Amino acid sequence: MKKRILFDLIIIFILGLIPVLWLKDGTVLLGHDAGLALDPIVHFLDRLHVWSQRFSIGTDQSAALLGAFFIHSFEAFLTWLGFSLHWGQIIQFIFWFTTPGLSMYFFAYKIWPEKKYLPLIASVIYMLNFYLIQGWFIAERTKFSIYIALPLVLYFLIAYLTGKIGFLRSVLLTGITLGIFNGGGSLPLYGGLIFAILVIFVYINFIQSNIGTLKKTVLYSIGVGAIYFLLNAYWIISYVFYLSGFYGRDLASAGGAEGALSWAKYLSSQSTFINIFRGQGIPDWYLNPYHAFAANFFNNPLLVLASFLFPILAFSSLLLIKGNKDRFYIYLFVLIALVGILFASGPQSQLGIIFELMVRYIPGFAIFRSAFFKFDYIVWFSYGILIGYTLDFLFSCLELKYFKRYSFLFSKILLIVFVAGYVLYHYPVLDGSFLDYSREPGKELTTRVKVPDYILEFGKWINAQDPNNRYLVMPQLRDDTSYISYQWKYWSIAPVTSLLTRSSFVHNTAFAPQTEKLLMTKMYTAFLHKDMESFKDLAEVFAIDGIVLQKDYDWENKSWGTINPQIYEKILDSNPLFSLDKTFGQWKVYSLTDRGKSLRINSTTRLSFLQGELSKVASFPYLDPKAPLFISDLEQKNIDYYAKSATELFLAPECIQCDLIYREGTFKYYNPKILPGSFLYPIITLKERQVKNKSNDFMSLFNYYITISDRRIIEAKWMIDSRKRIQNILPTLERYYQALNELKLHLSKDEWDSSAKQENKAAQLLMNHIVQQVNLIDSAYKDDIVGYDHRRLLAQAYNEILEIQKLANNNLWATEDTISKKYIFDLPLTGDYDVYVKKSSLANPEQESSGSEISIKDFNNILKPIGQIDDWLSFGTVNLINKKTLLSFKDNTLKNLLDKASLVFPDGKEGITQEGNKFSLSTDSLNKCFYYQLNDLEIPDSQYIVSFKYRNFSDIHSLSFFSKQEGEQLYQYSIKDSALPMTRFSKINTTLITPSDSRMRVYFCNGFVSIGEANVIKYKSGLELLPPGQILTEIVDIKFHKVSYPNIVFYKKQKNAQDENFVTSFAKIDPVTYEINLESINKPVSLIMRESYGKYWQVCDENNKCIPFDDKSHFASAGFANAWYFKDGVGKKLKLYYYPQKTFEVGTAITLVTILLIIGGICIHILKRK
Amino acid sequence: MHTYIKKKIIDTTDRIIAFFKENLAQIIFLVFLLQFLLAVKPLPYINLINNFEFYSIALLLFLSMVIFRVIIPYKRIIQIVLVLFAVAALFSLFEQIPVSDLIGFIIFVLLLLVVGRQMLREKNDLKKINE
Repeated sequence: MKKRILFDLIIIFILGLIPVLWLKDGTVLLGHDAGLALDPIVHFLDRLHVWSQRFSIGTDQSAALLGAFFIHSFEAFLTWLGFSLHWGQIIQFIFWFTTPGLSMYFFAYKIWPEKKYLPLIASVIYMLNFYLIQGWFIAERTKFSIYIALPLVLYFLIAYLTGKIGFLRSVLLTGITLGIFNGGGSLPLYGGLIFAILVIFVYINFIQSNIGTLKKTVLYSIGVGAIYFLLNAYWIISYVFYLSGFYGRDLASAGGAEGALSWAKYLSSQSTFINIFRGQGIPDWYLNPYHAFAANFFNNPLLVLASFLFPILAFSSLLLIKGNKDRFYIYLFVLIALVGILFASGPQSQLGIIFELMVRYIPGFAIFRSAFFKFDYIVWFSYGILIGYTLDFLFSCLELKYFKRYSFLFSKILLIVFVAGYVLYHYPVLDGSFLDYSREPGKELTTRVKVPDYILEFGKWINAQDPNNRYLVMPQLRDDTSYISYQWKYWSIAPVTSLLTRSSFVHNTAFAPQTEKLLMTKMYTAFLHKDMESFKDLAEVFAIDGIVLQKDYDWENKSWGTINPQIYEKILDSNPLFSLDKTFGQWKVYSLTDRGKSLRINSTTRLSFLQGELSKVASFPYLDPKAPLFISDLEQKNIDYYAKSATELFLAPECIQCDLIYREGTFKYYNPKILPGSFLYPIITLKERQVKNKSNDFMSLFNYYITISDRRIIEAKWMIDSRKRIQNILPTLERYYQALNELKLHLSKDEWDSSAKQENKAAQLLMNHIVQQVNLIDSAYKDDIVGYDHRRLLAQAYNEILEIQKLANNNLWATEDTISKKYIFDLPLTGDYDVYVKKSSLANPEQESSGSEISIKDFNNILKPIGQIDDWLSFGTVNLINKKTLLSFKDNTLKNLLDKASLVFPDGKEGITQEGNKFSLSTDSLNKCFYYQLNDLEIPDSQYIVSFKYRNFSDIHSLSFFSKQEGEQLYQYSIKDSALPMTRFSKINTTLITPSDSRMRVYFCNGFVSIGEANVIKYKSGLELLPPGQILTEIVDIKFHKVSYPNIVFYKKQKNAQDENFVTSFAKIDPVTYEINLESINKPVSLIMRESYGKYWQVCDENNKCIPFDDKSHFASAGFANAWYFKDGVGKKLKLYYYPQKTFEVGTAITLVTILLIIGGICIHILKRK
Repeated sequence: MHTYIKKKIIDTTDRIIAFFKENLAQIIFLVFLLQFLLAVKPLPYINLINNFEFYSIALLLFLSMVIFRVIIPYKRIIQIVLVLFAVAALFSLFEQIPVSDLIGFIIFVLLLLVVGRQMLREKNDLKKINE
């Protein structure tokens, strides 16, 4: 017996050495979602605090696997022992590869000690399968952790429920197992384990059907729950504290239950029953067309057939069972496998409705949205046993029949052959090719990376610097992807600095919240446009002390490429604001020369109030970026309080639709399914009544009336189009008229909303809806089925719409042309305001701007520039008595860029006549194009608008318009794609262009007719009438303007403030504690701490008196940093503490006491037995 | 030979007729149920249920087995399952994915039913796990 176990264990250990084959030439596994650190000790220490500044300017990491203590401590321990990163990873991987085999061996051996082959076969299958291999490409240690725990937990449970072991032993062993192998504290990974336990509960209770078993079930659940909680308290308490505040927000950011389902549907698209039965269905195999090896398993007939051996062998066990014990276990494992398959297939299988209903109606079930990854491991657990059972039977038969005399030798040879064959089937593990997870040409991706030495040197250097230093990373990432990729093959959304250091790096990564990201983008843009005043202001807002330029970024890649780092380098090297501190290979570290002292924490009597975006006031002469900034657009509460308390008000709203793009949506014509007259229709009316009763404010009722009127006209139109329930058309039109009438009455109120911006938004929405309704009326009116009464009602409805349009126009304020820009100011306080416009934000700042004008609705004077401070044009002071201020700005620097552009006729000028700014295209220029060549366009992020009027003189030939970069291939046939709608009357066309190159062309083509179409047209008599020289299209007034978003600021100084920092010194004790010394002050004063805003950052005075969490004095300065406003002044000392750390400390204490109690209990027990 | 075949045909016909006579009420019930399910499919709300056909077929199959008291032996079902896996393998080989998907679903249902049935039948024996 012992020999057999020894042999089995040797095989398991040999298999466990497979990871040695993966990492060659000093490579390490890094990138994607791996989370393997480059400095494991620093990484581990950082995880002892719930606040970390590894990502951007600080984040709560309670939900980021604090429970992975054992995983990261193991890594750190290996580094501490002196292993290199490469060998440290290999040792770790051997551990994580071998342990699942050992835990499965324990399970199988304990259940069937008499079976010779089963335990080893089950272990090998459990250790090596494609579910695990998919996890191995990012070394998902959290997943492996729960995977190891599964067989152990299930054994202790089954053994207890079947009376093999006692309650205490079972509960303690389960608790300890889950204390160590806790899935890194990732609750979604528990999906499979929970369902396997539930199946066992139900199954054994059903079989036993007695109170005793039920009692055991309850006791076990409570006991394990308690021990599990006590041993994992160090992360659970913080996690629960986090979830209590943020689960709703996180679920909403994932799109709610619907979002979770969409994701699950996307991911499980091929996780069908049959694929999972075959041990496949892994989402990446199907979603990644360039997967390292999946195609072989789809196309190679031998591999396809081999995959069916898994279910055939597994379920053949049902044919071979003999004896009650075997039946008991085999039925159980088949059930576990089926439940695993059902849930792993997610919402896409034929029984997907079960998963869907659970996501929708069971609170919290949405965390299992990546269904395959959360449930499929229990299938492999069952498969290991079931296949082991079948093969054990077959091998035993062979042994008995043919090799009875050499049974030991034969059994070992058979096992070795099986293991070799099984490993060969999973051939990608033999060379680690599964780590090269994408082979798309030009986008090859791998997690097998050789880290350049200079990266590690940088890590060592930065970890020795002041942890309060913060660096800006360049180049910026592309906003649409946020992928981070280096030429040395690292690719992830996690910045490499987060794996290397504990310092704070500002970079527009996916981890930065949207508000911060927006500001970062503005900061990068200001830097690239050499607007150093704005850049300095924004750098002060972020408390940036230096810049790290990464020249090894994969900036040329088509998918995630960005701006050439050399452009940044040129600016950094030439501007005196920056000085080069250090160079580490391709990385350069610069410091800001004007930064004497860290801006992480400061205090001032200034308090600024801003309406609009911070970037709009960056570089404004009266803005102090060091002062706390309350942004009313982001903090909807306490606006009045801060407006009155602020020393200065800055109002800088965004231009309304300067790009001329209409944003508010409308509705689409749809099949209403239940029509008036249907016996189910009362449900619709009942629902509508319910919505109306719940609509208590103006905007809710506004939305209600719009929706009702939309629905009525859609119902009527659908009945007309489908000829269904014709008798109900008239009553429906009457109800439509009634809905419009009610809407009109509702809109007749003097004030729609306290905010003019909201009113404008509502008016735009209303306009879009009524225009769409009129479209339906237009087409319904023409229909033959519509009689006199119907027409009368439609005409009446149209009259109501005209009235509504008038009401909407009263509240509409949006830019309609490139010259006159519209702004809405919702003043927090009326009174005198100084008006400024940033010169460099005008369309062409180098032009004379004195002709620019500002006019304010209901205000007689027109404002003109009267002076200039730095880059800001002063328009004087206005006294505003109305809180809703509508402003129009005329930018006189606007110029038509086509005036200097060259006009090119590549196909000749015949048939194209130009008279001034008017072009006529005749039949002689069919298929011909002309274009304007534009040079020196501003890139990136600059927008341009092309506008022109045109009209067609033929119903067949249309005008085509498009833009192309210089050098881009023009295919004649693709001109078809850019045909403009036909129009007999002059129509204005405006197109927004964001050039990616400074040279581009704007094409106008006289339609396109292929030779095939020309042949057909030839035989149409009407066309032959068009004589040569007949004009087909006329284009007039072509303009190409740069889109400007002028920064207009209303400034109001309310109180005098001292430009003094009251913080004399501060010390960062640890990532969650700051101690601050101040000059005592009795006046209102603000304190700002530039780490991400967190509600639970607590400020306490020297007597340990703390400000409550929901106090209005704590707000998000500039939308992201922590600021406190003390209206009665402050004392000499303050302490900042991130409160959730307490939950971590309490939890850790509970865990430690529990461990001590368990160890003590075990010792006492052993002593007693002795 | 001719007589044998003739007799066989008559026997089969008689058996079918007898089956219909015996189970007319049940057959009518199932046919009506099928018609009903087909009729309700396009109705509002019901038309939102994905894979409604699968549920209808599964329900009808289940009811037929109950109503006609069809009992397929345990081993036969497992054999059918294994054969179905082999058939699915062939369809997968020729990339007939929808067919193998359907077979996968049938296998799933069969396995679930057979294990459930055996649990019910062998409940008392399964209790004696430690004996």
